[in-house]
Amino acid sequence: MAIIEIKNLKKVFTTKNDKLVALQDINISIEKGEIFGIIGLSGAGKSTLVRMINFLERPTEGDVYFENKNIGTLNAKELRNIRKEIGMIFQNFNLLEQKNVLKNVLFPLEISGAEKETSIKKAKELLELVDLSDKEKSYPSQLSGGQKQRVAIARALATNPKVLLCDEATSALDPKTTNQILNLLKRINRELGVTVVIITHQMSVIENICDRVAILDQSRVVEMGAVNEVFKAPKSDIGKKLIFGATENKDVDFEKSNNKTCLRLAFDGSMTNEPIIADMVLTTKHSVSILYANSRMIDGKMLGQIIIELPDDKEIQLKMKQFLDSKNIIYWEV
Amino acid sequence: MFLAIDLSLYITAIKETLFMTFVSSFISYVIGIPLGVLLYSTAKDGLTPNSAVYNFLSLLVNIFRSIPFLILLILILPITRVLVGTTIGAKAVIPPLVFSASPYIARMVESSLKEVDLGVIEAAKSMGATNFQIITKVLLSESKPSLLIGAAITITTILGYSAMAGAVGGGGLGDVAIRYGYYRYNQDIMLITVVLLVIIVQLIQELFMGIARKSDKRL
Repeated sequence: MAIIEIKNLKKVFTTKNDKLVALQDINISIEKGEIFGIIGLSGAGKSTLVRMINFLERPTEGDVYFENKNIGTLNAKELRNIRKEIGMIFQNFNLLEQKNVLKNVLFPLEISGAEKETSIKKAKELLELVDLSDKEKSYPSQLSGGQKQRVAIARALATNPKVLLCDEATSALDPKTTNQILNLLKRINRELGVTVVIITHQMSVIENICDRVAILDQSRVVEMGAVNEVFKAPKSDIGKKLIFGATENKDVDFEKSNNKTCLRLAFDGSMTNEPIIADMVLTTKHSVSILYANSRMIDGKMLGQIIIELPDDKEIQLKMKQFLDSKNIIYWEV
Repeated sequence: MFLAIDLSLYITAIKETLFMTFVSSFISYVIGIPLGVLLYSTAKDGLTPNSAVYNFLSLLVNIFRSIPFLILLILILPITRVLVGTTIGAKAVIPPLVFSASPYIARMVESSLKEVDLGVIEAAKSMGATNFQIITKVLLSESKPSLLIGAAITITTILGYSAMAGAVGGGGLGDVAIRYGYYRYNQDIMLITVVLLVIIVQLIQELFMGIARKSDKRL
């Protein structure tokens, strides 16, 4: 069942002499219990999109449904109550600097008018969950980035939300801390059943913990699907760029000579036993050069890619493509 | 030497000065904080942007801030009479001080609140906080150190203005300095009152800065 449904969403920012379409034709349905990632380059409209889920930003057009309730039709009080069911964490943590860790976690309970003693008990449990029990009297300025984000997570969970929105939650953190936070989010998802929505520009975040992903480019969703599917064969240009282009290997730098036809082959773990390239060469009786290859684990599945340079002869090229088609290999020209 | 003979003169003057300063500071803050919050909230990036209200308040505040204190003191004499029943003495100085300080405080408060990170306010909103809760539990509490530093500046400024109270026979150290020191050209009294004023300003400044430093958890 979809917990969040975004329908035909559009956001236009109107400045004095200009109209900027930040988002348009957005249709996303986020299932209960999943970890959903939204990725895009900066300026793609990711942060605006996540803010329209809890109506921190109002859509210009379109609707957002939370558990089948149209958020746009709620009055101020109903909206505030919905927000208590949707926790949110941020890139810059946004902790109350003048309050200690415990009081930060207590804050959402305090504004909900919850009873003090049960609140304190709840806050301490959450600090235990994020492994910060020993820091409850510390102030945010005394904590590291990762610790601050853990406090923010505990705070966001205080009102027992059904959804946790993460706006670039790991972008200000180093890789090791990022992994700790991602593992924590995964645990919260698995153990507490909280649906997690992650906004990021880091492919590794999606790769690590997301079940499904939507790729945002130039104010639209250009691609959406299960993470291993999308990673295996991204269809959109931006998807290819995000997945194969700017990875930690910087593999875009393979040396492609001019006018040569190159193919990028994507394959998953089920085919790694088959000598595809060798078979192709034997079948077509023509050799190819391998310019680049890599493989990685995504969600427990091995995904790989190879870039090959084809001979110039168009006929041979066609034969090779036909061979790949017959083996159900996904490829495209690069 | 007047020092020994008129010790009571100084004590009375100090009491009057502190009375005028703290009573008017207190009242001014009671008016200035809500006014500052209103300015902050109705401004363009505020909680409830409302340019009509903002522009009106902003103009009002600027008008009162631009009238020289001595002129204001005389200008509002009728109001002073209604409010405190007299136009002379330390009490009579309080209304003009309040009129002059409240808009000043409103601006100080507005600028302190503006220092609060918008992200923190957004976080509070995402938790379902009402605007009133954001003001009381986020804005005012997060900007406390800045507000205290503002108070140190404001109160010492009010103290300085209160010295002009001599013009309406208001009493206080400033009055003594003018009447005995300036008009009668008694340099000793002039010097002593000035030194006393410096000490009081120094004490207030240090006290508030100390509290601000101590209460600031960011350091």
